[in-house]
Amino acid sequence: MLKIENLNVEINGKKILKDFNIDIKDGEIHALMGVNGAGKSTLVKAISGHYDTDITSGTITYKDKDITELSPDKIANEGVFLSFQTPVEVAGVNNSYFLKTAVNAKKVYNKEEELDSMEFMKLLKTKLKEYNLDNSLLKRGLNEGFSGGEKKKNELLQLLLLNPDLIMLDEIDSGLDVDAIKSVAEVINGMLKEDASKSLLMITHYDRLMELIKPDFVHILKDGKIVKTGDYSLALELDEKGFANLGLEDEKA
Amino acid sequence: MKKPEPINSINKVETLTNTYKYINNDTTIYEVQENEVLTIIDVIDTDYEFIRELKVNDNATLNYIKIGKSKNSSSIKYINNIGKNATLNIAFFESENSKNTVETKLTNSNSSLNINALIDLKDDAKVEYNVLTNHQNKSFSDIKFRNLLGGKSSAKLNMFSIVEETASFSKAFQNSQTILLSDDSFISVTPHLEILIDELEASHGATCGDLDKDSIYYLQSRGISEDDAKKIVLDAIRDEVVASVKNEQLSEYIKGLL
Repeated sequence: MLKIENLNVEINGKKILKDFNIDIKDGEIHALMGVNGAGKSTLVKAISGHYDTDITSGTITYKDKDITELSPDKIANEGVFLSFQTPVEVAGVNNSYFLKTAVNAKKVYNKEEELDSMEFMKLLKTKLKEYNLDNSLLKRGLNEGFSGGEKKKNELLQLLLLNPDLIMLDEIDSGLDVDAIKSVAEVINGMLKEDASKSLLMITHYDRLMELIKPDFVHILKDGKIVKTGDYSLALELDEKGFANLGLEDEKA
Repeated sequence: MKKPEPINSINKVETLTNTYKYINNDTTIYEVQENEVLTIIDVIDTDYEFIRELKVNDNATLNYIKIGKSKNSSSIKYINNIGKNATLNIAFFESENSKNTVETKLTNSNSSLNINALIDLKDDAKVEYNVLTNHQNKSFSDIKFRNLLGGKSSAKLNMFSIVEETASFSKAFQNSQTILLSDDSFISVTPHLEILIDELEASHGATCGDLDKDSIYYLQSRGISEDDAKKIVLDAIRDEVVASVKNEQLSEYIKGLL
């Protein structure tokens, strides 16, 4: 699904990722952990084509296609979805209109017929009902004035509608209460169950989300590189002992 | 004898009674009588110099909407008179060339002036606004400009509000937000408040920048192309000004004229 080889990424001239490598196969769930500033968010930003990330060398291959130089919209339409740590508020853009535009952009990219308003509303209602999500966010501006929890719910709604093959979650659990984390897990597990070939890369600091979405691999990122990989037990060990006791604290800390 | 037509065209007069008085080739008065509400859409597509007098009598409301479409350049001077407890709501939509002076004396208590302007220019269009507001009694003014400038277009805005000693507890606000869509576009904004009393609320400010990169990236990250993302963000700004008309049907009508 996703293969990253010798990736070097800078932000504002500062080297963040250094010869980074990862291989995520179809259907695998990977968790990425590490201290603040280790490069976790930079990685998912680089994969999704963020304007801030300067890829100086290395390749990002998604489904055997080099997406290193693709624009963010093309990467998204190829089937990569990044759930933002802090979703952006876009004032004045109606949320429902935005969702329909995004769904149809993917349809056009895949040379499929666009959904008209009725078809889109039908799809929307189906997804809302399936995961017991409320529709109160639809009439409002895109993330405009949304609480932290509402923004994450809106990310989930986009995820469900766009139905990507590679799901990347950047600290989707931050700032969420226990029930909201359960809702996140329900949506993600539902999507993975529906299509076992989908892959997941999640960044998290907490064990809570991983209790509900069991990763196949847990990676510890330090200073722009993966320094340790294990299974779920590594996350448990980290939760118990902390980065410092595993000798993985930030060098500058 | 046939009444001479004004040099501009009035596309829609929502409520009737006192609409306009044609004075001469240079001056037209739009007047709304006491307790009435009048909405006027004024499409300016000629290239002359003329005067508009907007007169709002006590307890009345005039919603005046200008759609500026002069290919070469029009020059308009607005002289506004607002009665006691009366409101003048102005929406300016500029997409071509024009020079405008807006003079308002707020001499009556609880009179209100609201100006929402969209200066949406491309190529080498030029727009100039001089907005002079004089609070002489307890009154309210809120002047907002949203400027989207592409190509080699330019806009010059001077906002000058005076709050006199006789205008205690007035409110006077000025704001201009500009997005420069090209390297060759140009904006000059001068917000200016002259305040002669202590008891009031007032603010002024001007910002200038590019389209918000994070907003564009966010939309792109959901599969929307860069061009479409920019259009969506810009249309949202345009819609915000159109929505200031506060009438959904009228807003849709105005969108059709822009």
